[in-house]
Amino acid sequence: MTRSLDDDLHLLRQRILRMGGMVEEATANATAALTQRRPELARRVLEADDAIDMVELDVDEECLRILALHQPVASDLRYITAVLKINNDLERIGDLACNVAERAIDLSTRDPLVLPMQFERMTEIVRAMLHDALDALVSRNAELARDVCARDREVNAIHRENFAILQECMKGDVETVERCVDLLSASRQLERMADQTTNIAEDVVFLVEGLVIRHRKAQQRAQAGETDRARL
Amino acid sequence: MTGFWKVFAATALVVAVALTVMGTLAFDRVSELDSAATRRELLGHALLAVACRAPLEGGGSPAQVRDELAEPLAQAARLAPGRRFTVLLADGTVVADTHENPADMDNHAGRPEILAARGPHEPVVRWSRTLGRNMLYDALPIEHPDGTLLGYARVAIPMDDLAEEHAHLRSALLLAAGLALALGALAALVVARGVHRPLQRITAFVDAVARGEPAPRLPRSGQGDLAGLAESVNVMADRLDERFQRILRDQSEILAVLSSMVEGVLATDHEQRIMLLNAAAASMLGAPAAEVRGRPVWEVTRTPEIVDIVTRCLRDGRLATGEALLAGESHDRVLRLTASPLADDHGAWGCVLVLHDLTEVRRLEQVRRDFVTNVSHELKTPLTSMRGFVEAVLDDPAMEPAMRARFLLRARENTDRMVAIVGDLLSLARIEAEDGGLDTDELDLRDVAATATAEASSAASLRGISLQLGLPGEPLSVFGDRTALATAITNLLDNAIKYSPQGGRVRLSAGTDGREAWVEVTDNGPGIPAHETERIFERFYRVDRNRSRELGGTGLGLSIVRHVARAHGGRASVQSTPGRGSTFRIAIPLHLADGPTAGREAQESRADVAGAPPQAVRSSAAPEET
Repeated sequence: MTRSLDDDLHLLRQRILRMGGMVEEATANATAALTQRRPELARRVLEADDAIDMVELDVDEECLRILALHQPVASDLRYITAVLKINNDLERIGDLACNVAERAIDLSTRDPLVLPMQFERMTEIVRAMLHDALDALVSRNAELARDVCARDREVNAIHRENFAILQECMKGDVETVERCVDLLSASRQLERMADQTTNIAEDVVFLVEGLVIRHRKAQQRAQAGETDRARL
Repeated sequence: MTGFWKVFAATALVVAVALTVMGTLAFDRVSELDSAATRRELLGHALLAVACRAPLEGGGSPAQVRDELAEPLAQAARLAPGRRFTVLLADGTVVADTHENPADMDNHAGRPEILAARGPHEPVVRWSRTLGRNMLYDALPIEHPDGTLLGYARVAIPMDDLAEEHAHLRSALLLAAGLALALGALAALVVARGVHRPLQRITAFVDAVARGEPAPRLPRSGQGDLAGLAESVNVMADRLDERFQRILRDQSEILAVLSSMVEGVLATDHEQRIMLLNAAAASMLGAPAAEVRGRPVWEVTRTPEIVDIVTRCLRDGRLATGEALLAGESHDRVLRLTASPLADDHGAWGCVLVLHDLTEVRRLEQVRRDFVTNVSHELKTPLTSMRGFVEAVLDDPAMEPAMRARFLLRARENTDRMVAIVGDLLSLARIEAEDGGLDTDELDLRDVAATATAEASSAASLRGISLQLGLPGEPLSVFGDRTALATAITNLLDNAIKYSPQGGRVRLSAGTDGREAWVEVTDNGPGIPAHETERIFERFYRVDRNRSRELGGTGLGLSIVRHVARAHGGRASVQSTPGRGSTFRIAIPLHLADGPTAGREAQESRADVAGAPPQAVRSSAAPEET
């Protein structure tokens, strides 16, 4: 029995949000494990990863099924392509959360390193970005999605700061090198999680407005090149 | 007015049908009567024909015959007034006539009625040249008994009379019809007024009730069916009103109960769309109640546990329970979830989800577990070393006196430590006790701060820490227990000094915002991670256990600070940046001599803690950590 396109889209919406919820939870657990030194939360992240991968496959399959069966057009087609990309981004974020969780487990076995880093601020922003990006997907709110994109800059800035602090620390005390490398890796993963979340937000803008806001500069350069060529 | 037209149309139809039937019958009857009259005339005609036979048989001169005929003619004219009778001879010569002189009349042998009299014998209508009118003629042959034709007797009836009669009859019928219609209209008007108006009123009333608008009840005038109907409608409206009010009341009661519940309650339909949720549920899900109604649960919250439990409950139609652990920035939230199906004979058509926030319960359980563990641990450590030293002394009676003295001294140090811990515990227990534990008096917080700073200065200089004091010019008048406040400030200073690096800076400052007086102690120590800032005020809680004990803390100092602040109606808090340092702050309400509000607050706080022993809060202990 084939369901109607509307029913299928409804089901797809439910599944992608389930995927989002699981990744959100993994992110929350991984970041809390890192900042609060709670390895038991980190282990939960690692355990949940398989389930996330399964849901990813599920969503992918559903998208392809709808494309093949209903051959949707216009906004429905845009929705399905956006979901395909968001699904992929979410899975990546889940993987990054696993990496952060592994670092958190490593770090929890060693003495804490007290340095003026803003990990808590960083994880807070990353979590809020992911939450808002998914909210934007639910409510088709392009404005909120753009706001998410804007917050990526602060995460990048904190990552650069962390990098400098950890570098200094390693130079000063060889004892701390292992911990510093772990922290550096965690900071890098968080920064990449923010990047992936930005991709999701961009896909939401595309979904709502049909406007590609990725690679703005490259687009502008390409356009400028075309006009140059046209002038020649 | 449509009502009137409807009634009128019905009435008019009835009148029209009745008139048509009656008119037809009447016309028939009149025709019958007509033909009867005609027959009577024809009878008179026949009699005339018989009466004329004798004179005509006599065969006298026309004048003679005419005279003889005068008598029967007069008789016939009497019998049928207005009719013209003519008697002709067989050759067509007119011998007698009731209206004209026969001598002036021409031969009538060729007249159609005369010709007809010999043949089919039918009356003939034609124009009478003699009279100049349309006449109905009928002629009868007058015959001798042996069959010889003697002549004709003719009768003429003016046609105008007949037409006139019929016209009269028609106009009479039309008049009757008009009259009946007018009467019908009148009747329709009366009926419309009597039936339709009240019906219209009832309709309008019922419409208003259906729309839920307030409407005045129908008047109880009139009688019969309509009055009964109005009465019934009134009763129905009353009942509806009553039910509506009851439903509203019930609903507002349920909503009030729901909104005052601590537990979150959420109801969905079979498609997981949220039909209802209370304020607690809205805040737990982090979504405003007004926005989520009608949206699916999985759109509103993406927490997999919550979505799963609702899905399971709806699928199985059975109670489903579970727990969701939401890792947060500073603390986890634990929700217990109970989903019960809303089911009828056809299965579950909805689900009620109750969200029970176990965070606080879990936290308190954890605090209690930690406390028991900590107390045992804290007491066991000095006890173990005490036993070690005492046993060493007992086992070796030949121990050098100097050694023995050192061992016993170490045992006493540990005893002091235990006494300090137990003392702190007792202090805490007293401040926590319902009946308070403070001996309050009006005092200047600046004095307390200055004294505490002076006492701490030796410890600070020992570690090469610069201790700064910044106090305002005017007094900070509060109601409080001098000893307890001094202990709290001393605890903060000790912590700051202990955790600042060699050559660090500790600053005590005080001030007021007009409502509260505050004391702040700032250090440049390692700082406290944000998620620990609440927990460090718990008993025996330490960010770094080994370090704290090395520094000789009991793990109770900050706990005492917080309790002292609370006992004074204030609070203790900390702001910290890891790696940069921390600022601890105690804020308690000012005692304003002419400020009634502040005065009353102070009175209250004094009443709260009255009757406590003066040195209820005395911490001999070094505080825990920053």
